[in-house]
Amino acid sequence: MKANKYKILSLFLAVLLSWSCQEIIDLDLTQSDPKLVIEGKLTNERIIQKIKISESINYYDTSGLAPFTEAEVSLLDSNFNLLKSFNYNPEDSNYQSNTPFGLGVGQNYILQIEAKEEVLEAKGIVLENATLDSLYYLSAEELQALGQPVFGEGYFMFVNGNLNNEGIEYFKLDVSVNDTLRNSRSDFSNSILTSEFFGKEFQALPVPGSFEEGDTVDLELYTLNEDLYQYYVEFINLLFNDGGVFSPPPVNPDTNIKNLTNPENEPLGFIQFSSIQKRSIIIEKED
Amino acid sequence: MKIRATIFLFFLVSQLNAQKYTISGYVKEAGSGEVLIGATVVDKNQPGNGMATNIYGYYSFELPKGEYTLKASYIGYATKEVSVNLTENISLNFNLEEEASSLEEVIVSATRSDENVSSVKMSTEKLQIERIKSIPALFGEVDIVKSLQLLPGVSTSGEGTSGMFVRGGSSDQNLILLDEATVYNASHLLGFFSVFNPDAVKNVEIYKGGIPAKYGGRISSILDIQMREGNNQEFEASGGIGSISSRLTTEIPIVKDKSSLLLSGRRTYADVFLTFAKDENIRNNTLYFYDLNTKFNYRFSDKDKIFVSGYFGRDNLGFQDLFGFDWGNSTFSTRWNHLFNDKLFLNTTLLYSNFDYGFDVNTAGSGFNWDSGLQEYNLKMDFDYFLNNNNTLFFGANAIYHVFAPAKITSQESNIQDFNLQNDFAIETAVYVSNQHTISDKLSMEYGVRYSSFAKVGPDSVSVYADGERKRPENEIQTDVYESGEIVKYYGGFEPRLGIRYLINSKNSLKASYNRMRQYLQVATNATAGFPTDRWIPADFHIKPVIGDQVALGYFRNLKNNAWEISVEGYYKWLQNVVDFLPGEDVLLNDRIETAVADGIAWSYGGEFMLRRNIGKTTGWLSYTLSRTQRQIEGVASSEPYLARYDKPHDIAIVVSHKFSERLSFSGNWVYATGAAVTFPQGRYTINGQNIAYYDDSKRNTSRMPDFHRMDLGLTYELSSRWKRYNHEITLSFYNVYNRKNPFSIEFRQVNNNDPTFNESEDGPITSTRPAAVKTALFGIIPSLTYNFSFN
Repeated sequence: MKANKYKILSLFLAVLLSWSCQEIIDLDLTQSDPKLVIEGKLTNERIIQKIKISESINYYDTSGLAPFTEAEVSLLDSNFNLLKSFNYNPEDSNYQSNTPFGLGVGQNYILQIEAKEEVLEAKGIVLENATLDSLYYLSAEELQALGQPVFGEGYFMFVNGNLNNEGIEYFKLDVSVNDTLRNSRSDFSNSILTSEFFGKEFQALPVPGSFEEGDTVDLELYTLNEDLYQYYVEFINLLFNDGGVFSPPPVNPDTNIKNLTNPENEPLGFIQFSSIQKRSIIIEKED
Repeated sequence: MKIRATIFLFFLVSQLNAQKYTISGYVKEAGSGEVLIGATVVDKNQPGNGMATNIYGYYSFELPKGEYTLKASYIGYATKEVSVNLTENISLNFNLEEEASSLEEVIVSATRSDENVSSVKMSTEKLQIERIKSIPALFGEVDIVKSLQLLPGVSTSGEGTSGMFVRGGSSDQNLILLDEATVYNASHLLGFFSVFNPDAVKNVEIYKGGIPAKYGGRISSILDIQMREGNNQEFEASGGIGSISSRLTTEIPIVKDKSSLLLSGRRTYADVFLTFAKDENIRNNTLYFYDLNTKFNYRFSDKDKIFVSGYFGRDNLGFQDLFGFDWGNSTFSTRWNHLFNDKLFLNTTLLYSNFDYGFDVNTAGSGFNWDSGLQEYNLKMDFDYFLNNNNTLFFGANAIYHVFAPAKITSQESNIQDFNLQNDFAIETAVYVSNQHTISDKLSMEYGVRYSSFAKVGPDSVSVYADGERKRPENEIQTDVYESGEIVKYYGGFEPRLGIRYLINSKNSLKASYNRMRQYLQVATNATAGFPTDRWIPADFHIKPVIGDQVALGYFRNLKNNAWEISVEGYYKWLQNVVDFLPGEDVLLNDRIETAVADGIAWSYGGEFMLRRNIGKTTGWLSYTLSRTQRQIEGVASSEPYLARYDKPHDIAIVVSHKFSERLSFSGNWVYATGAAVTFPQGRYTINGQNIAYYDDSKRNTSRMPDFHRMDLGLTYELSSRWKRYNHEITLSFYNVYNRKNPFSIEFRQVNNNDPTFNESEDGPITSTRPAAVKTALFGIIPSLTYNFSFN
């Protein structure tokens, strides 16, 4: 629902921008000390699991984020028993598990990181994923024939299924087309989903975006804990913050990683504990 | 006890005077029958004996038995004198003819010539509608609220926007009244135009401080706008064709001298231009607004008069068939003026205000309708009691029933389920009394008190949280349920008001004022500019009303026979229970708003300077405001004080009009303001492949946007006409004449190929990407042409 405000603003600003102009300006910005940036997506899929740790840089710095290589990363169960250690791999600048493994659905986990003499910790539960019964697509012409408004051309994808947990559920849906993740700012915004206004069953739920004939579309649906959903919402708010009078004052998204040593010094980023579900479909011309 | 004795003594002095008779009546414009607000009726030989008319054009004062020449005057109208032999109470109406002034005597003021010095009022500005119409405007759209932003102490949130920030108050702290009915969202097109059609408006007055006791409900200012009544003598029509809208107003006498009807409409045609856009996405959109104003009045006798007025305005925004968004206000006022006798005047008002918005999302599988609204039902009784020449009492009461329906979501047979946010109900009441007291030739006061109360009533369910814990859903220990009509929470308190004027001499005065205001409703938003979806929230079990106090001191001087006015005012304002969002929180669909907000304090102070010339070929003003506005909210910016975004230490406006000849006139204005206080990033990082700026959350608004300045110019030429009753003119104006690229926003984002507008599909391959600060300037130089006409 919040996305509707962006739609209204985008539409309005699109009209306004026909009178406006944009230019790059030079501003002297204060540079703060580098902050730890942590990004991890741990899933129930049996793979080499990875955690990325780096440090923030000067805003205008065009180089990539420098990896932080001197951390100790451990995965614990809810009783603080060590399950896995992660080691730094300089080849891809990630911390990774030595062997493939997957998280258990319904299990609680703790990811602990020791860095810069501080102990950081993120907790989460791996929730059961939604059931996706069917995935199908319709052309713009077919949708129009059904009396549905259509924006754009090509094919549009829909999914039927049901949710499997009590209460509101949260998801991240990554859409890749021909092995390329759709990850523009809008794609990212559309990838965060909540069941807040949905029932337990859904029919013809649209997959964001449109597709072309011959596209191979891969969907990856991740379950999210509520705190991570909130993180993503705040992240998107910041991503769309244009610094104008319609935007709130910019604030960093509230991470789900706590600093146990120095609570005021929380890192940037998140640790995601998810179950994952994958689907793939090729858009074929209908006879 | 001491206070009561003092008041008694004040009144006793007046009782000791000799037997007096009352002279009372109305002052009207002869041509149209419209009453004149603030016209004076005085004894010609002793101008100190007299009175100004109230907002219904009524006056009343006393003189001893004898023969007098009474003089009625109003700026821009020929003075009228009437001789009377006063042996009993008399009723005397004046009909003043508009004066055909020479070029040297052009007058642009809606007040008495010496009001700047002589009135107890301070921190109050009255703008004549003709003055407002002469100010060059964005797209040629004359805008009342934007004209007010040129006054000291009133600022804007950004380029072109019509939100008002008065003496450091936020935009929801202004009570905007149209014929006494509250207008909750006074802007069109997300704030770029205000809802008031200038053709339908008669009087505009803004109180920034020293607010009289009859007004309440908002902390920062009262913007009191009265619609015209319509000509009750002869048919009149006027209108205009502008760059983005056209207007038409008709005034129809129903019964000559007794009754008239005004109908006024305005509609934009931006949507017509959209069809010419190159971009199909823009071409197929909808974007327009319209306003309809109407007013009917009937004078049964000099003792009874009724007014019925209404306003209906709406914006529509559509994105092909996929998405529609509309919002608007409607107000309805019914007023009955009744004179019990020549001293006691009553205005009884029944008011209805509505603001609602809705949007439709028609996408396959997730379509829904969203409706939201709020209503206000208000009954007011305001008495003016002309006790004697030294004391005019104002007293009254009002009761408002508020209904808030924040969100109702209805599925369009999609996966979205129906959803309702809990509606809120509240009753707001107030009683007040004040006295306008002339203590001596030099000392006058207006003192009074208002008692306001607010009861949040059921049905309601209130979350109760564990003591000492933050108000979060996980800390809720119980939910209290209230039945319909049951009081959930009650707030109330006194609001003292005081204004003092000490007349040093006829050209100089000193004034001071104090007022306390209570505000029981606020807009829950964390953005600076208003948005139609912003949610008005009432004070409730957890959220307390905002309380604001303000003191102001001023020096006022008139020069050259009141042709020039100078005023210097200083103010200090402090607020309690100001609400701000906690970082990352949102209230749009939140049933527990208290979990998303924190309260704190705010304060602002400043000095305002005004030099104004109202008479002559060249008129206008220079205003300068030096101010500071800060807030301190628990949980925001390390709970330390921070600047409000609209804190603008320096704010300057120069407004000039010059009449070259009877036909040709020029107008121009130049504004300058310190850039808004904003937060800039202190670093950058990448998450999920998205580059994003990093901010220091322990501070807020420590940086500044570049300073804002702009000049607008306009020329108006009165065209010759074959018909005596048809007048027409053409106005050419240039907004932002030197094409200053004032920043509307500064966005921190990745830029491809060093071009902030780069579009890969149109501009070719990406060869470079870098983080940048991108400034958006909304309006460059914008010429506009408006044709105005009148038939009378």
